[in-house]
Amino acid sequence: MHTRRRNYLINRRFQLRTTLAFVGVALVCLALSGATMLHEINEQIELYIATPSAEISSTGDIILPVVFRVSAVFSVSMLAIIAVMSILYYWHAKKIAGELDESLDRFAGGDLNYRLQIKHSAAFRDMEDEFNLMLSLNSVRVSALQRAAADISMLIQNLEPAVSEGRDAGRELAMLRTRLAEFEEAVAVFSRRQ
Amino acid sequence: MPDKKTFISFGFRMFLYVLIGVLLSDLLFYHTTDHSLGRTYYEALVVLEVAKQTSMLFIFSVSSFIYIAALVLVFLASIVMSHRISGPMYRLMKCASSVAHGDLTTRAVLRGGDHLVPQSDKFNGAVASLHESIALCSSRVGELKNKSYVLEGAIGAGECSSDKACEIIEEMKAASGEIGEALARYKTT
Repeated sequence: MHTRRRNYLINRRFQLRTTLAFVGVALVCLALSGATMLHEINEQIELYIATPSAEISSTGDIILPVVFRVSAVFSVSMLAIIAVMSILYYWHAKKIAGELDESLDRFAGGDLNYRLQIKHSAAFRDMEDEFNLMLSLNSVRVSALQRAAADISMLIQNLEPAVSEGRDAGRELAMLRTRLAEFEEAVAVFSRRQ
Repeated sequence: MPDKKTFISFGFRMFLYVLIGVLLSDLLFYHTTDHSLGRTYYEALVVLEVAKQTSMLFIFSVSSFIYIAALVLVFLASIVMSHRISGPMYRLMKCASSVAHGDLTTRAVLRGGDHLVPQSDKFNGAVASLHESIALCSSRVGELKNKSYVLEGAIGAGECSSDKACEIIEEMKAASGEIGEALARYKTT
């Protein structure tokens, strides 16, 4: 079991797309706040030049209220955008989890014919392909076992009258053992270790 | 999926980081741009003209460091968040691949903080169930083989119509029935 992941970029497409979305939003917010702050500071300075006030004794008295105001607006808007993006991110993850849930419920219920479809993210196409390959291969293998089991059951049924009537049951027993050997070979596929 | 507590904790942390960043940048702005306006209107005009010309430079130089730090923080947080989905999906994919190759002992083990834990539990349960069914079939087939030899021996000893031969055949039917039942729950092509 892994206790530490060395590689953080496992699914680059999904992870980089998510990251770029968040970083892009943050960059836009930061650029807008910088531009707004510059504009407001210049405006306040022009206002003071036009109508000087004795209450203002330093440039900080003019600039600081602007900085606080713009920062407050920027903080609230950035938090709101991050909140919305986080909700969208979790909604997206929940959709993927929901699609997995349906497929896994069916797999657990014994339905090997159902195929997983992750509609909401093309970045997980590999996962979808591997899962469906697992289902289709196991469907073929279990189907072969079911047919072999039916044959074995039929051969045992045929054995009973042959034995009770005192006929030579050697042929039936040989056929039964052949089918049992084939069944064992089919089961052995499931005993491989990766 | 993350619970309410995790979601609130994440939101609170983001709020804290943004608040600290904003306060730091405000303090830096104030510290670097605060100059006395002097005693006269003319002195004030000069100071303000200089402030107007230099404010752009101050905004760029003072804020660039904090803004880069904020972007790096957002970048790292996004990578970690998206990894909590990609990691489990990759793990499930690898386990599905192992099962496709016939290894029914494989189990998806996720780390704390990962999403999709309930899904990995379902996957493990489904694989474990298939493993049990196959193990049962393997065991019963071994029994059937042994009983076929015992039956052959009984027939050879002239015990064809005896209770012993019937008993062996009944046991074989029961074992065959168990195999059929174990496999019947699976819907296949």
